Amino acid sequence: MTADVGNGSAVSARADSPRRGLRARLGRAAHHLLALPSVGWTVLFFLAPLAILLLYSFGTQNLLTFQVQFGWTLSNYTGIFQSLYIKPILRSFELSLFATLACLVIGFPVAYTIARARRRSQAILLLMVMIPFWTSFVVRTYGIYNLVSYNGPLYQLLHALGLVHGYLHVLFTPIGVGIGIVYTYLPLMILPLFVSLERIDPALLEAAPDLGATPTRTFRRVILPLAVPGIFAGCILVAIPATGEYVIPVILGGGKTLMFGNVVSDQFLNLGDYPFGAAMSVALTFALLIVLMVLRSRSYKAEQRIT
Amino acid sequence: MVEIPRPLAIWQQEESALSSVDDLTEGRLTRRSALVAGAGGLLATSGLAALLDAGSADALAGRRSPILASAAAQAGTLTILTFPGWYGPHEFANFDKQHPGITIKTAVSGTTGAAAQIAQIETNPGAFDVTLAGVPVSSQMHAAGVLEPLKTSQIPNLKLVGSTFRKSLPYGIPTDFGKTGYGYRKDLITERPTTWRELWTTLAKKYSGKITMLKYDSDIQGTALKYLGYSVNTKSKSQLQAMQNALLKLKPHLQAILETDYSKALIEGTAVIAIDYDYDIAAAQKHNKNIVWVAPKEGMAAYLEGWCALKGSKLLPTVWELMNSHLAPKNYASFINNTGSAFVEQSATRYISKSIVHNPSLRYDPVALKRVEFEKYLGPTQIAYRGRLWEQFLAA
Amino acid sequence: MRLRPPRLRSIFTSFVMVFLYAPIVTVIVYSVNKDPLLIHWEGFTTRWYKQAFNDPTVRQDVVTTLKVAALSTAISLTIAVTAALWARRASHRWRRAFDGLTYSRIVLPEVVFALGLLVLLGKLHVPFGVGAIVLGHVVFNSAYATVIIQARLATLNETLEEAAADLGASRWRAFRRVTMPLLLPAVIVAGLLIVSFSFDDVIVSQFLGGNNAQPVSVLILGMIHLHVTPEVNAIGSGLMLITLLTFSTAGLITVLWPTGAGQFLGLGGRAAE
Repeated sequence: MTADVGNGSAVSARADSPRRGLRARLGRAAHHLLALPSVGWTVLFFLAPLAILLLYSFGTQNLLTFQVQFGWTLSNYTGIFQSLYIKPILRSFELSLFATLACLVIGFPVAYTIARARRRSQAILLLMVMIPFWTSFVVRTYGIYNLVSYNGPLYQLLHALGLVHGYLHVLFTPIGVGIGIVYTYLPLMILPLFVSLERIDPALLEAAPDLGATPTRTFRRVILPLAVPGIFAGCILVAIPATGEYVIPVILGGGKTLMFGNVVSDQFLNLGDYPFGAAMSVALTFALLIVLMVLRSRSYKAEQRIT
Repeated sequence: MVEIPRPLAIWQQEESALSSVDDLTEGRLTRRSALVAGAGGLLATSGLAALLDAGSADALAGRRSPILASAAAQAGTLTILTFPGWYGPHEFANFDKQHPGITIKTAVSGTTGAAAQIAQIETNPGAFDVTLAGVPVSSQMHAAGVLEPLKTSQIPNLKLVGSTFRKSLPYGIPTDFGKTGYGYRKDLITERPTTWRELWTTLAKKYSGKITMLKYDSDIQGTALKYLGYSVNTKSKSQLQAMQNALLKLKPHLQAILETDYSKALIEGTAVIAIDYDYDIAAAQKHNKNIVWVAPKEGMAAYLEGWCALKGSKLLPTVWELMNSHLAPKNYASFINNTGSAFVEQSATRYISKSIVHNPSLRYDPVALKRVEFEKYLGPTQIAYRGRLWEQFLAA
Repeated sequence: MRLRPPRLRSIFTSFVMVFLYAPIVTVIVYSVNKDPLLIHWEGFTTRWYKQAFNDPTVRQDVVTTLKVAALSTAISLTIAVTAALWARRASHRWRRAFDGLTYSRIVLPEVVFALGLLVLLGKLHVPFGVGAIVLGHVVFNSAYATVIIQARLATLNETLEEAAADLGASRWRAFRRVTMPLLLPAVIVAGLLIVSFSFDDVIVSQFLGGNNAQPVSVLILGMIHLHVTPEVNAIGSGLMLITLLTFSTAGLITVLWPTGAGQFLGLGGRAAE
């Protein structure tokens, strides 16, 4: 007889065996050890540096030597709220939203196709999705740049088909940036979607129409519940880094727009204004985290419905 | 590095006739030196000599550092922070051969930003020996105390560099500079402009969307200041605001503010004007004969850069020797021939490829050079202020 | 028997694949173009590959990149698996804290903790180089891997493991025979992804590389300072090829070793459980 212990521990607990009780306790202790690598690494190499930067965000800085003097001031935080910086922040959010939606719409069918393929094909298809991303990011982006340039290969093709005359107006426009963003973030949507969609029992999918379910109903009742963790993960992995994206707008957008990521990296790498850069990053991280945690609790509820 | 074929300079053609590198530096009168002595006279009369302090016959030969003995005794890896390929193709390999025990290694720097460059050096004391740096960054580094003061006594070839350059970059040996002007396609526009004013007023509107601009804050801000008749290094808030307004007026007409390949659109013809460095337009002209370089009458902003020695280096004697060797005319010429950059050493002219020396954008026109203003270090508050203006410009 | 896959889905996927490979074809074509300015097609040549291969800096940097990627991927995956396993049984409160830690590593702009790490390691006199870069890469790579593995783990029903325990299997055995094979696709997928993140990373790599560890990403940034050259395209293509060969070799090894991995890849071994 197994009794469910607490939050679903797989170790059966029998009240009549003290040895079992000890084992259970040791098991739980060992279980908590599992957290050690992650927590240890994060504390040492993420939280500690972050604490340093957090301190910086309240300080002022010797612009000559870039050394930070710690003195408590909020000017770095209030400085964020100028139109100069609000616009890039909003632009970045806009871009991120577009990226997430576009990648979801394009990525879902692809992930589903791979998930439903034969085992052997799955491996090959996944590799095929990833191979382009083992070239260097900059090289890849300039590949897109050349592809969509005014009289580049894409223009030649479209021109031959009679669809475009004069020149191709994609590079240095928001369309070009959009293409670059979708291209760069697509695997980040496809792969997480795949790992959760792959769990769908093909037998269920074949049985459903036999039992009278419409395609929409099959989708809603069979596919979607299992897809939710993947959709959530994919959206996180696209939306979050996309808010910090600045290289693609610079290369494919012609450098005419300033994104939030530009501002932050500029403070640190060019101007050397570490306190201001730190304040901006901390404030944005905090704001995004709150949104994320809210979304995560919703996703947990959905996950619980699966198991 | 495998050498890319280019038009052979005189010294390269004569290379096979020489038995060793030393022939040149020892100043023996060979067939080649007799040839170039004649050319030297020609250059002198064009006024260049006056401008660039050409010297005696010693300038032709270049001098070795007197402390070669102690430099040869050092051993280790000398790391130089620079852009890949921004040196002569065989320069470092030859230096290694002449100094057994020394290996020169290059590391990338300066690609992410001034503050990052300084931080990289500050946090790695003793790890790097030499860095390429412009005037503002080298001054900042000097203020931060990471530079080793230049030991000019150990770098006799420094005298071959024009005094204007040496004065502007006191913390290191000047190696190259670049002035910002623009190029246009004479087959694609009917006008023949010679000023910034024409670009900003008539050309911008007429060819809106076909003008590219290189992305470098100090060069572009300096250009706008020159257009308005102000100094590149002004600190006046009103002048800087006027500069900002001028830039904001130009921005809507720009096709792109380019990170790299500044002249590609001009060569292809998808842009008709490119605001670009002199040497880049010169290189572009080889690919499209219809490109014309404009050194605007109002003047140009220019950057000057060079090699600075870093404090904490364990190979300082070798560093001075390397610097001296870099400025030896033959080596220096190989660097210029490899990069096509504007050069600071007139005595090396004889060995520099004709296509560079005679190119209108790179040729020393003393009149034009008077209108070139080098960007200086303006102090932390100015840098921060101009930085915000640049951000504003990009955000617009 | 498997039903014939609906054609629309497959066609769409093919289009997406073409979209993914078009820029790569451009890169490869540019890497064999004789024109150093890449404006016209001037003929086929392998000189740029030769040039890159003969350059000791390029060779060194490629090796550094591979070292860093291998180390950071191995460590990140270990961290991600252990963390995800712990999280699914953790109490609600701890789980939220854990999620916060995971997401903040993705949200925070890299340059922020790179600078903090620079200061921290500098003060602790930790030498900069491959090790330091790996330290930094693992911070964000492990977060990405955790998110992916958690997504997979959420689809696993724990009754399978409980059944194994009922049948007398120890926790470890239950994990090895039941959970791990089911997690493996996610682990492999996460691995594929974070290798590319390591390749592309510039900020942490430049800050923490010191004077003896320079990954290819940093080198390329320096090389395109004036022009995007065919050599740069050759380096990108070369790196892609090397990685592909490495993963293919790894795949072949798992064929000879019939574990869950081999079964997942469908490359032989025993029949599926």
